[in-house]
Amino acid sequence: MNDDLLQGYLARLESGEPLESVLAGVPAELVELVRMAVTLRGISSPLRAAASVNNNRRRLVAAAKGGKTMSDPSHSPKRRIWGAAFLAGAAGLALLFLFIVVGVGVLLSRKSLSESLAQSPNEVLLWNPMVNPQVSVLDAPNSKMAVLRETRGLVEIQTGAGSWRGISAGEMVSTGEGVRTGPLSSATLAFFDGSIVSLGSGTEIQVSKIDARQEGARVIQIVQVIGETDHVVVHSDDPGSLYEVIAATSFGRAQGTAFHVSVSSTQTINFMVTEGAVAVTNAGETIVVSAGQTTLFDTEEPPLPPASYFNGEGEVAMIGEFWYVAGQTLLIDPTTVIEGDPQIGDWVTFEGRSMPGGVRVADRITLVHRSVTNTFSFAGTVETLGDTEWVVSGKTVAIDAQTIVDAQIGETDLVEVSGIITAEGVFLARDIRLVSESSGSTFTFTGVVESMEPVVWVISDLSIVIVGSTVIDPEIVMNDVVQVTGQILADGTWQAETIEKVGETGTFDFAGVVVSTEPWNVSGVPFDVDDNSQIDDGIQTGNRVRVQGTVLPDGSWLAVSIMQYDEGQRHAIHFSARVESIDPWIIGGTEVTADNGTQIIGEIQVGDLVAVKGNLLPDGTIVANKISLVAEASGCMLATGTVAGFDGTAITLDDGRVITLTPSISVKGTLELNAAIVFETCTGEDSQPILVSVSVIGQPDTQMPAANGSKVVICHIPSGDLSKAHTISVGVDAVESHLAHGDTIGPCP
Amino acid sequence: MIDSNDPDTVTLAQRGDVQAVGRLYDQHHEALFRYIWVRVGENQLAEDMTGDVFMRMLDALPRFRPTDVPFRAWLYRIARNMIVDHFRKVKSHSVEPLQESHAEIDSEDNPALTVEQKLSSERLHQALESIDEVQREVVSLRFFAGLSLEETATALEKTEAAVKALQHRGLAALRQALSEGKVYL
Repeated sequence: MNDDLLQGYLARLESGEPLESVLAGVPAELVELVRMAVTLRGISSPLRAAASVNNNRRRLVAAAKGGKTMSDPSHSPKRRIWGAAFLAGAAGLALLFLFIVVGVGVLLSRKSLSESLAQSPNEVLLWNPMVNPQVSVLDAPNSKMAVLRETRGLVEIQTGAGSWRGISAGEMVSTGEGVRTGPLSSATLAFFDGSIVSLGSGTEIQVSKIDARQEGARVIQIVQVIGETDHVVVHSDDPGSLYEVIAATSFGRAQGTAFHVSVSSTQTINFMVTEGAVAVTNAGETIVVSAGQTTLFDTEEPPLPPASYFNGEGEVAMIGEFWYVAGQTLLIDPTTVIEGDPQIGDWVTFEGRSMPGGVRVADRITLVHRSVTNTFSFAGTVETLGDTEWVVSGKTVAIDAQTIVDAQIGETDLVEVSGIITAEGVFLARDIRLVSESSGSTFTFTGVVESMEPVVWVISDLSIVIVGSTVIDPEIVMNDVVQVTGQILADGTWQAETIEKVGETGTFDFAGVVVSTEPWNVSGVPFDVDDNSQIDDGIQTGNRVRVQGTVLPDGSWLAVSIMQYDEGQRHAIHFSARVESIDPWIIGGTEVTADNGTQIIGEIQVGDLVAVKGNLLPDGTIVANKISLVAEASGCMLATGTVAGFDGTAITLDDGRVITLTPSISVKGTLELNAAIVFETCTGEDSQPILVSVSVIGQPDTQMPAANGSKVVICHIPSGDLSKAHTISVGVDAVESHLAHGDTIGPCP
Repeated sequence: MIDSNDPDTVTLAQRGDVQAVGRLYDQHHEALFRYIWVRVGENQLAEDMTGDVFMRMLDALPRFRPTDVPFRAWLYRIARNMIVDHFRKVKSHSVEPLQESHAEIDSEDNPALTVEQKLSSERLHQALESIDEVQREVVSLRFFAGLSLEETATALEKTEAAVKALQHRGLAALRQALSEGKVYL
């Protein structure tokens, strides 16, 4: 009877009746039990890590997607994106194309791998997992499995059944399974022996064999269908060890170590070796690509002779048949891939090959971010609002139809204004945002759609709340690259105002409070900086900043500028423009006051491009704190070459290039004839390249000849008997047969 | 209260609607985590198991028959089975203290409550572990997961009358265990 009574009281509570009301009629012997039931229901569970909650959800939704894809592939948005890859793979098969890269592994010890893995930013996860890569510290449990160490964005696995499903860091991959990454995504796969393959965005591989034993013959075989992979192969003493990257029926073999493989959608193949050597065969011809060398070819053609490579990033100063970037001249040929439509002044990354005579042929140039020249930004208080111009902290800014203005801005509000300086010196606002005195602020970023639930979308791992007023492009489907604008609310929620489809060149822009500066984390969002990031001096934890930057192809965020606008910095102004006059200072058509406290950096002359940081006075006057020369065509380049001669003042490379040494540069490693070196140059204030470093990355006895018909050094192991191993030189054509019976490229250990 | 047995969402999820699957997660993960947490006593383990329950749910959805059993009862049956499996695997059902509950018992509901009398997570877990297993199941499902009497009965495959009795005895036993430990509610 009491059981029913108790349940009756509990039912009343469950229907919403107040406790005291219910207790009024409860027999004494049940009062404490009713109270206890209420108390138990009131106990909250522990705070949960948003990462875990999101990961569980993402895993579930991805698994659900996998099932749907299997049942109805024609309606899968994924199929649209990856269909080309499958077709390309099929075409590759028809063309009887195969790569095999055999890595018997040298140079990289397990210790160094462990050290590199130890650098995974686990601690960042403590702050905010949203745009972080997922990182696992798990090892592959046995030689038959590989573990996903790191994933960012959309990463999927294809199991034996053929369907694809989302996969997270820490999950395992076995023989016969495929892994692929979506746009703005990346993944790293670690094998039991410590070897690692990293996948860039839009990449698909199939792991066709895994027996990554730490002792004995290690066998790893990977089919790369499309995309970019980096391989780091751990040394194995066993002559039967094999590390293969297969594309079809032709093959190339090489001595492992560290190398990059690129398979484009048109089946153009590129191997680039950073350590050791790789033998690459295609169309019946084999070449050996050594550290510091690259080769490029199409499926039906033999590999091009190995050439030195270069890569770097910098500002575009000239466009045409030749481009001038980071102080370097790059030759554009019909095969050069130019991504993002870079223009003069924009910042790009580039890579290519050095030809005989030192001509640099660009294989790829990719836009990183647009020029910052003639741009400005500052935070201030709105004084007057008008149809064509506003006055913000004394500074008049022009408004036009393209100016984006937060609707709720009124006079006396604190706003952040950014825009361009016109040829007439007018500060034309492109964006005026309300800066909340609390923690709320606006954001814009580009990412890939990973989940589209009614209330929350996941875009590049960032959870975005959708509300009734959110304007969403109806054509958006899963995996599209989109630009999102919205507000970061006081509780940290990112609430979308608009979501629209864009190209894959991504940017981000948001304001928030600095959580940490090493690594950078603002309002819970981590991002990277590099030497070219413009960061206000003196930013500390707790400061309010605006962060603008670029979403890189792997989905990581790189800050281009971090600008402070705390209370004390409200009237700070930044802009970049050309100097029109020095006394008085007129920069970009605007008069700038320089006083005794103004730092002048560089020997500035009329016509130079400068960056100005200063303060807006109440009358709109700009008082400069710092005017600094901006190096045009700034940037850095890393290039490789083979030493043909050297003395204490210069190194001559075999392609004719001469590297002039300076007293401040010490060469790392021992210079010898035919050694492979890598050197870095950066442009100085006079826009001329300055040598920054030189390192030897391959000694002559490990370097392979650069052309067919030459001899290749191999370790010959008669009948597989290691005790009889000895170093010999054979013709390139004989390399394959030697490797087939267990010989390895390079001298015997 | 979220419509926990929303038949449309469940049906859509069964038909492969990915958004519906996501909604099921959104609707149930908090309470499910709370239930698993109070049973296993470890935050991360509870989080992992919560994820696993949903994965198992996804696998089993095609076989779910809403006419046979309410969805929530079915979901918690999966969770309960996983918890049982967990304890079977770890062999000894050793008590792990509940970690960092942010429980703050509302003193307005109980003016006599003092700071010293507040229920600690560890004590709660110890007390729960000391009572009969079936009573513990009923208490966990009714007062931590928030299942109705009917849902609890279905999840445990018992009659409602049995659950009423177990609920009564479970609360009394828990009250007794906590009193013996000098912890008052």
